[in-house]
Amino acid sequence: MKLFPEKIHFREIRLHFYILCWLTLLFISLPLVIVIITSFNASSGVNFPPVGLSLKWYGNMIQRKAFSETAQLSFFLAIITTLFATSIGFLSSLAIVRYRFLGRNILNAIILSPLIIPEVVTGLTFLFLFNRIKMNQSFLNILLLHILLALPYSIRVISANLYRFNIALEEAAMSLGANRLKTFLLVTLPLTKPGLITAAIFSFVISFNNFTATLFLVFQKNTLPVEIFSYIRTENDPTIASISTSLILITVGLILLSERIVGLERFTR
Amino acid sequence: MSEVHLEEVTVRYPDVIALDRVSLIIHQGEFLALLGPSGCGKTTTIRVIGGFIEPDQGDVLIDRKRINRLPPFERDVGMVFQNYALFPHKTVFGNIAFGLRMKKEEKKSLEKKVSEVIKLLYLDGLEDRYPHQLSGGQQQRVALARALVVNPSVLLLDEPLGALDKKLREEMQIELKGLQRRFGITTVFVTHDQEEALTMADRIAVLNKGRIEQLGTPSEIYEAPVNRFVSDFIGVSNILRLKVEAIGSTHLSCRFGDRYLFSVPRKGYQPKGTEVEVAIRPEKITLISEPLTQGENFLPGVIERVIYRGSIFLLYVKVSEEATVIVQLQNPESHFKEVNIGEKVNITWPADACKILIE
Repeated sequence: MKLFPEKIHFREIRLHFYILCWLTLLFISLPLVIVIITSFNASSGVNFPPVGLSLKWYGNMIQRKAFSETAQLSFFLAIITTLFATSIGFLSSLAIVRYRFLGRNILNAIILSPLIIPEVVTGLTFLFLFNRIKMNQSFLNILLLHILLALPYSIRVISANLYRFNIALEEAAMSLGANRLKTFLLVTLPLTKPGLITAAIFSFVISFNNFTATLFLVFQKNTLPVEIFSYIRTENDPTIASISTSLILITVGLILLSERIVGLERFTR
Repeated sequence: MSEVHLEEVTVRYPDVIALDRVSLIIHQGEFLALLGPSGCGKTTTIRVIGGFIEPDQGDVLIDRKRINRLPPFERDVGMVFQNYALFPHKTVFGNIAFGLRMKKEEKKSLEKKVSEVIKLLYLDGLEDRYPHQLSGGQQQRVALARALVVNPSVLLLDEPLGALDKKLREEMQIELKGLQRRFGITTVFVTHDQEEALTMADRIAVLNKGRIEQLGTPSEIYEAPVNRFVSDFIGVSNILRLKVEAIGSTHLSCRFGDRYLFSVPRKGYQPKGTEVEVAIRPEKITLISEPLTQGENFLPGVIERVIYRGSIFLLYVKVSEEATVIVQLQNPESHFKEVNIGEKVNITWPADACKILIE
């Protein structure tokens, strides 16, 4: 896709426009850059510009068991959340996009409601609920919360994909002898793949990053964001910056990877 | 190669009846066109045959076997969709091979069949392309190849040429017709283009508002439209209101306005004094320089408009306050080459060119 239609001439405003664009990009990425630079700081304060260079905070990050354990937990949570949010999201999207049924709009509204309700409220209601029914499974509780938080995104992305999907393709497959299952596996699924991958990444990131709502349900083991928060309440060294930098790298890697997969699939749209 | 029966098929949508007790037999090896304006029920008809819509009432039979509730993948019916519906994630080869793979065709014979149909439809060298890398005409061929390669007993075509430009469309009409003959495959073709239907079909069913208005060969439909809708929809018709003056054994004598008498072939029961609507094709009308001596079957008028179309030209001749008659002349029509607006002319036509329209 071209950013500008060729016929319109931006020559006069082009320079200003570029400056504005670059300033905006700078504004967005500057905090990240500062975090990355700080993570290599040799002194134990969160200084900018850094006083000397060192990798010792990365060492500290790896050595501290609390970080690696909570990172594992967060990772595990994010993976399972992704599986559930993507598959439930896919099925719900199919229902919402393809069928007209009683309560369809209400269902749609309920599923999307976590987008509007403040996370503090969501977290609190989950806490009340689980207390009430005496459900003390920290992991399961947080998992349910994360699935709920990821679903609206997953459904949004997948339905957008399904709305563009040409039903005639499924009919063509069926007229060629493919039964419903084969049609689904050979036509519907491959053509919805870009949406599914995007939804999976969203779900993963939402689960892995969530702090506010998760905080209410954490009582045995912390997730990584909660652990980071409790660490900076007591310590004030660039370890946090090292963790952040690592997370930035992982996220960027994830996005690049998906770009590659989805990018190759782009012609299917 | 099969016979398709539709018996009193009715399809209702919440706000409209898409098909209203439609009965139709499509013979073995026949090329039948379903022709009509949008919303007439023609697409619904082939979707019922294809198994994508279940009729609310009535029966669908292929080779006398009732298949109302059979899903599309158990029907042995091939379909070419309006915008081809090629699988965008599969190559030309993958698209064409899809149906054979569903039939668990052996690899060797699969490749042989696919390469045969690829040759047949001039798709050589495009096997590894993806649909978006093909031109509209090529996509159309792939869609056709994909449907034909599994050798279905019935082939359904939903406006398959609608997206092509005029020249390509005309080429494909002839090619498609040739292929259909060669395969001898029972084919149902949906189109809103009457020329296309006339060119390709063995028989045409003209549909309107969920009903078949007329079913017949292209020449029957064109030469003898049964009612005003058909006569209006197929080609251009001049429609005149005449009053029955006298009834002969084969022809009626009818009056136009208060002076001019015309001989019209009888059809149905038209008592003396009633008004009838009569359709006359523009190409059946000729200009004459002198009024006919016996004073019948001619009409004086004034040229209102001349439309030049290359091989033909059309004259709009005003014959009364309300009525204008379109006359089609071949180019060159030597002595009437110089026709001017406002000129007085006399027009005539053979009596048998008039068709009484029954409501």
